[in-house]
Amino acid sequence: MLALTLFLVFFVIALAGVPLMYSLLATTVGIIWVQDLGHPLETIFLSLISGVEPFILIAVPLFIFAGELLARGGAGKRIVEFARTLFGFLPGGLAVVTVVSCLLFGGVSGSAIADTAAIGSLVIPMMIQRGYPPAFAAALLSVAGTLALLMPLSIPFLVYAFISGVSMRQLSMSGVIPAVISAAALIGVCMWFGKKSGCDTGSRASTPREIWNAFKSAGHALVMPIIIVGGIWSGIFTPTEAAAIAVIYGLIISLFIYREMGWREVLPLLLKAFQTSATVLLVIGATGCLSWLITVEQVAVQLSEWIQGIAHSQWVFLLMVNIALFLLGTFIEPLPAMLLTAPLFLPLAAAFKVDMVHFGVIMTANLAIALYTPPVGGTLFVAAKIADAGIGAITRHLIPLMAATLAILLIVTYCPWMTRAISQMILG
Amino acid sequence: MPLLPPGPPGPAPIRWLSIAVDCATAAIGTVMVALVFLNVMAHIFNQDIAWTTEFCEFMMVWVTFLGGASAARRGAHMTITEFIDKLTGTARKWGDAAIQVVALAVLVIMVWYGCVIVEANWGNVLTVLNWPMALQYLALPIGSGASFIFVAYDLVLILRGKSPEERYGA
Repeated sequence: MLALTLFLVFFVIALAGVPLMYSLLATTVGIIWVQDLGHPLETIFLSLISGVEPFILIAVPLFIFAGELLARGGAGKRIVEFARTLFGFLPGGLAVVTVVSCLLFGGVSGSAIADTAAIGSLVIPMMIQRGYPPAFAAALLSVAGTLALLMPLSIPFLVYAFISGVSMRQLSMSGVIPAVISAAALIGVCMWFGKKSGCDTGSRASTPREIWNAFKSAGHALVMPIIIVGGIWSGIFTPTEAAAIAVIYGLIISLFIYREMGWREVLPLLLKAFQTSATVLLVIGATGCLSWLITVEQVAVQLSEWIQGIAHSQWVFLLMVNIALFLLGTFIEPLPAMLLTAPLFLPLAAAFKVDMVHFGVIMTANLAIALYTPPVGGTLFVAAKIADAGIGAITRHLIPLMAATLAILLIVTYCPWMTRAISQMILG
Repeated sequence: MPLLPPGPPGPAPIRWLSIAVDCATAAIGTVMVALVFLNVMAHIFNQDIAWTTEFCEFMMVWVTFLGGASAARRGAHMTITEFIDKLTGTARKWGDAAIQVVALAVLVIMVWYGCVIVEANWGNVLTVLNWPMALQYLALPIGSGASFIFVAYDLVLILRGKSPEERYGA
């Protein structure tokens, strides 16, 4: 009964438009007061403070800042040029270049919005000029931009690692194969579209010298994930230290090597990064307050028993999780959706013996779809704005792309080896 | 030319508070980047600067609550707006006002219990820095207090019939 009251109160307040942090706290404090549960509120607010304090969370603003620096500093266009020399000759070549650029830039930024904005502002005008319908260009960017969320520096991975307690080293390797397979599926759709529509049958193949020159130009940006991820994987530095190195590296290449931004732009980007991260971290802290109440009142145990009564096997449970997250994702962005559901799903996943790292990849891959599921979504809006295309027209072009990503989501869900392969290879 | 982007327009006291919050957030952020990087350098040379971890956690609490206030000034907190955005005219005005009233109620509780927590922790000290824990916990009432002022001012603008674009800029 308490579980139902908690969820109803929270969803009514949150859906009414009250910021999530206040919705979570109002629900927690309101239920304690109204039901006279007798918990001291000092404990609730101490858990809010301790929820935002851990050293690992410092990586969140730092990675956001590094992503912003690279997006503003000219890394995007060099990556696009490198991808063009490699894949521009294929049917639907420019669309294929877009997917590869998003994958590579995603490896640098870890942010779907930064990925879509940085790559979209470069390739969408080129695609439209080439004859692609603006709505297709926007649909492709809104989907390809989310590949960043499965790449090693993904912000949702970092948040999941914190909530679940799994190793960021393992998690950062687990999304790579799903991201590459998703990119391959999208490339398949792009080649089919390029051929079918006749708008892009491919340009001439680049010479090895052109490829080498483009690689040299993009090399500084492309080396960054190797340094950062290599450092984390080898245990040389922690994710937080890796984030600080990413910031310094991003500053050096944006200010001194590419020279596409000045010192005056640094502080506004820093402020924006810390503002954005504060909104995320305060929701993390407030979720901690509600989780505390859920734990002491045994709500999670009751919910777990109820779901175990319905889902008799692991695969039914994972299907239920995917459906619930997909529905939730149609109106909530990935990070808050993860923050709200992970504390509830994690004990259940453990009860069904799901590998916690694998579960993190499933949640992230599913919630990434939320970013472009019409009618609302972060990457959908960014890409629609750049392409100046309507959501209705974009939705029609999204159908084959979403079919591909949903198929990959099912494969990722039921083939756990995909998420374990690289970590087993490297960590043993 | 100012180093930081200005917040939305408002009367002088609100603007000054907004500038103070933004400057503090950016300053703490800069120190944190520098300290974490310094720590990496120290590791490379086999040195350990133990106090940096605790100091960064100390600042993390401050930068989060101040960053939250800075986001409140710009209406940038994570919100599900799909339903409220469907409302127009008077319904939208009263919808926005009701949301800010709920936010203000939560912020009052945060300031109140923040003060209670600070009061109770002057005697407890941080392990390495040896500073009173109350100094770290002070971020809760101060950040929430600044947020309260920004949200209250926003409520006044809503009641005067200002649209979200007029309140937060385009």
